[in-house]
Amino acid sequence: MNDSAVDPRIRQFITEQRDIIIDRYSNKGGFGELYFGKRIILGDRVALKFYNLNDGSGHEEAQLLKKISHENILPILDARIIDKDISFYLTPEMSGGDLQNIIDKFIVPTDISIEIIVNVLKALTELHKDGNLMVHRDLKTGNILVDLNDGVKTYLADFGTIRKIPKEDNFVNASTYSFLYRPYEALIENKYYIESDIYQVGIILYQVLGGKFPMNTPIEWLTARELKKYNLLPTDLEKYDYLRFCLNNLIIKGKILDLNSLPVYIPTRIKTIIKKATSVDYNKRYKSTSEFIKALFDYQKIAKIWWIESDVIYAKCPKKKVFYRILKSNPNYILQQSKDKTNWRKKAEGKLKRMIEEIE
Amino acid sequence: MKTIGIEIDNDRAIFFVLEQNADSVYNVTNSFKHLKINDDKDNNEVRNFQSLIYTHFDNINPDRIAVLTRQSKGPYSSSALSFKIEGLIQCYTKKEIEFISPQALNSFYKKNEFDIKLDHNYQEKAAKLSNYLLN
Repeated sequence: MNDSAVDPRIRQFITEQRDIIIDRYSNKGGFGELYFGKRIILGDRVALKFYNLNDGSGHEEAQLLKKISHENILPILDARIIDKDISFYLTPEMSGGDLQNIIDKFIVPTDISIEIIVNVLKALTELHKDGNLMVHRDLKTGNILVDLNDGVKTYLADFGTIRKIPKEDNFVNASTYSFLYRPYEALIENKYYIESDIYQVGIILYQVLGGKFPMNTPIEWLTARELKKYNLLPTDLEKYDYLRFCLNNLIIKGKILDLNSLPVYIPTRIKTIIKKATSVDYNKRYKSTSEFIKALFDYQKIAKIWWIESDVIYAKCPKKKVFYRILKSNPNYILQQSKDKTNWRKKAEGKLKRMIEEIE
Repeated sequence: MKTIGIEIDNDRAIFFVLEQNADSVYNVTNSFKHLKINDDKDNNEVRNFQSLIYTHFDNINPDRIAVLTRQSKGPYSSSALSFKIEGLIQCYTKKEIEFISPQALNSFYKKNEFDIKLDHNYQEKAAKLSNYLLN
């Protein structure tokens, strides 16, 4: 299971299990170790997250998951102590894995992208709402789980970084994890507001819609001059520090997102929503999750659904139940229309941008 | 104390949110000023409309929520869609939805001053209702 580096006490516990067949290990568990398996009696897939009480914040994450119950927050099934230092909690395993796993494999259709983000925002409402007043501080595609068995149901996970905002302030200290997602105020002032969570959801919206983000190849974000300097640095540590410095500068200047990298069919209205959510100044962002959802709701009322299949751009007008597709036909593009997605007839021919405008 | 006043005007619900701390009253409506249904035969849109209103209520966690009553009979009765919107709001279970009549508001403001600053004229009735709930 590639878990040889895991604490032997945990590995021994795993081998002793008789009611869960544990078959997979993942090192993506944040503060802890993550295993997956099948419960023999109930027949469902579960995830077991082991954590050391001497690291992180003890049982707080498990207790928070128990306290905050919401249809878009990962439900907790059980929590147990196995040793004086080590405990674990049990949750359902999500069939689609995390959102990063989904967007690495597919370009998600626009309507599903928005549904995913609305679900994340609804879960976040449960944390932000007056009475709880908590911030997540580490929202990213890796902390959103997707269940493909039930449409595309989305769950917010990983509560290890959650903090309660004190009554006398409107912020907490920023988390130092996932630096690419850290907003301006976290980098400059070490402050994290409700609007800082909004910023991170804005980045996730951009990513889900197909925007290029320096997750896997951060070097591509460097300018030619920066890349030259980077290549001359002698050690990996110096390279990492310099890369981080350059990317932090992009965040501070509000240039970490390249809206032009979004698929060509993404309309200006969605780009405006992303811009507002990820504004450098936290006062200019949506003030609450419901304001953010409202912007998406208003957009959806008039929006076409867009997606790509085998390099062909498809669109659907939900009200008229008409499908469109744009095919490459050198040097131009052909726009076709259909009522059943089987019989297509030509509607127009020309430049790609004009074909998209024709549909819109 | 936090209150939400709602006026339903044909195909849209107008929201006004006030928060009272000690002696001061603040308008915390922000940009969630109104919400409209474009197509009430579109199940998805209606479901999303209701879910969004509930998320908004959850976010605010108000002490009181009220809808301004409208005429349901006669030549000046309100549109059917407005009653559909009202029903969607009424299904919220975390807080009782109150109904306040325009007459109750008028009589209240004969004796009390209304001095909340509005961003738009259309907010007046919802704002008056929200302020009424604080008292």
